[in-house]
Amino acid sequence: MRLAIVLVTVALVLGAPLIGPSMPSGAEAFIFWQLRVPRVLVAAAAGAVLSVIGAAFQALFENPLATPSTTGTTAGAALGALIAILFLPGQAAVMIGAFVGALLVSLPVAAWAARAEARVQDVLLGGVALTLAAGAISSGLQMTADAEEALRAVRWSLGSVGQVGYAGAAVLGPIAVAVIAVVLAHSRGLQALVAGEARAASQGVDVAALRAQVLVAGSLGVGAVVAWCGPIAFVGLAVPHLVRKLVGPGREDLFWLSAVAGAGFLVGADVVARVLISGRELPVGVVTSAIGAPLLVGLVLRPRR
Amino acid sequence: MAWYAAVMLLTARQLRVRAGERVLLDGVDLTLGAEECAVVVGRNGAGKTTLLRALLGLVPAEGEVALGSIPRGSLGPRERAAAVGWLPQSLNLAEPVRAVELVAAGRFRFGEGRRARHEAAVRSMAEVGVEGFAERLVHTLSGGERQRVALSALVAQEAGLWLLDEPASHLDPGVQERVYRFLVDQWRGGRGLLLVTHDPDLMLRVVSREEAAKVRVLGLSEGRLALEARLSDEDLPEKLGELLDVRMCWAELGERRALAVLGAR
Repeated sequence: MRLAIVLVTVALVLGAPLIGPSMPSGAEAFIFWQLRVPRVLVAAAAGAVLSVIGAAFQALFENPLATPSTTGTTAGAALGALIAILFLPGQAAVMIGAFVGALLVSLPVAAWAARAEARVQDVLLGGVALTLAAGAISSGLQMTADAEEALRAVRWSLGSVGQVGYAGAAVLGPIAVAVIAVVLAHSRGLQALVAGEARAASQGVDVAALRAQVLVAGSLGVGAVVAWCGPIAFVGLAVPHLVRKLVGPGREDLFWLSAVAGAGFLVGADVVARVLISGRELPVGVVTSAIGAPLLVGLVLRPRR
Repeated sequence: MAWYAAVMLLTARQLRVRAGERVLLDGVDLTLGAEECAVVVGRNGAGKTTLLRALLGLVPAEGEVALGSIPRGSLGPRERAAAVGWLPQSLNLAEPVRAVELVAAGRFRFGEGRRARHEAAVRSMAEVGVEGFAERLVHTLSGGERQRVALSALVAQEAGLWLLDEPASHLDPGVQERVYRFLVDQWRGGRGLLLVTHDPDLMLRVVSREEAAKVRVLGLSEGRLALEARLSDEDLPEKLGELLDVRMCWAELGERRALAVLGAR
């Protein structure tokens, strides 16, 4: 099953650029190399980052529902991007705004979480509070914006991997590699957390350092993805749970498999977004939500064994 | 012997733990020699669990804890895990996990590959007699099986001194005795034990008379060390009874004598 996940992802990444509406003659090379290939690369990097961070946060917070969305990271990024859309000119400002917003929310949470006496529930609660506060401010800003700006903000908030191009891929790629490397380096510590922080600490895990490093890496990664692609919902939540369903319980392979499966998941979702309605493109966030939301409901309603 | 043999001596000086206004541990001095066995007794809320957690650095505490001559704080997390291992009262899992993976987490301090880690985990499970459960999900095991799997993780850690928090509570009498026999065998093999229990007679059941004279009994009352005795002391029932607020006596049970509770005071 592990091999199957790897193969499906490889097939999706290699095959995705070939799928799409028939291309006008003369423009094939341009569409293929300048639009589809970078788009698939960005989707793969973003999906891998979101999924590996989702798996790591679920382990870190001892909570199956923890994702960057529940620790305030996504909301901070969204607020930063919104402020940029409303008050600053240019697409670059949106990315910088999202990145700064993600870090402004996440780093205090990470700094607090790194303190030895911080309890994991408090960190999660703080993240939820920040998420709600950022969401309220965002709504207020949208209400005061004019119609065109508000529409731009809504478009962005649905998530897309289409407008990023090689420039985005060149930034996202190295960040993705770094974030995944940090999480995989802490893979064994995250495994030990399965029986609680106290026991892991008694087994030699430096829990405060683990928390701080994974949270900072997660903030960087999510900040970058949100900045370039918008808040793509449910990937970080859904993919680790899908991996568990496919390979069985346990964390030994969870983190690297989540990265691989996440890349395949978002590339696949983006293909669906491009071809589902002919001639029009759905925001990829809509597709991931359409898959992720029922999955989440199913997980919550699943009978306990 | 590994390097930690030299630091197995555990000392605590003026250990004090507060929770808001309440004082949970009120200036405890404690020295545990290498290869010693001590049982910690006391009424509910006397500070037994807090003492173990403070010794492990899991709660903010005033005072000093040293492993050998080295202050706890100047050792790295892995070095501390080499010196002291811990068995908490209960096992709370964040998600389903196979027993072998849980036991392998005890190997965290070793830099070894996954195959070596799994082999060591299965060896540890075999020592406790639960290697047959390696592939089972921990939450599907019975309470006794689960406790012995948790004990396997402690074995896998290979620490010199074990801090055990009621290792046999909630278990049936046969399993209780098996767990204590296993622990005492570890002590005989050179491992130090600091063991919180409500039932010191369990220990008496599995040691010889000579060994009972070596087992220390430490009584906690309102966060203070109120009793220091040996398991073989003639006046142990009176002293223990006073500490626990019950009437106790020695009862002759054929080949051995038992610590018996007569009733409330």
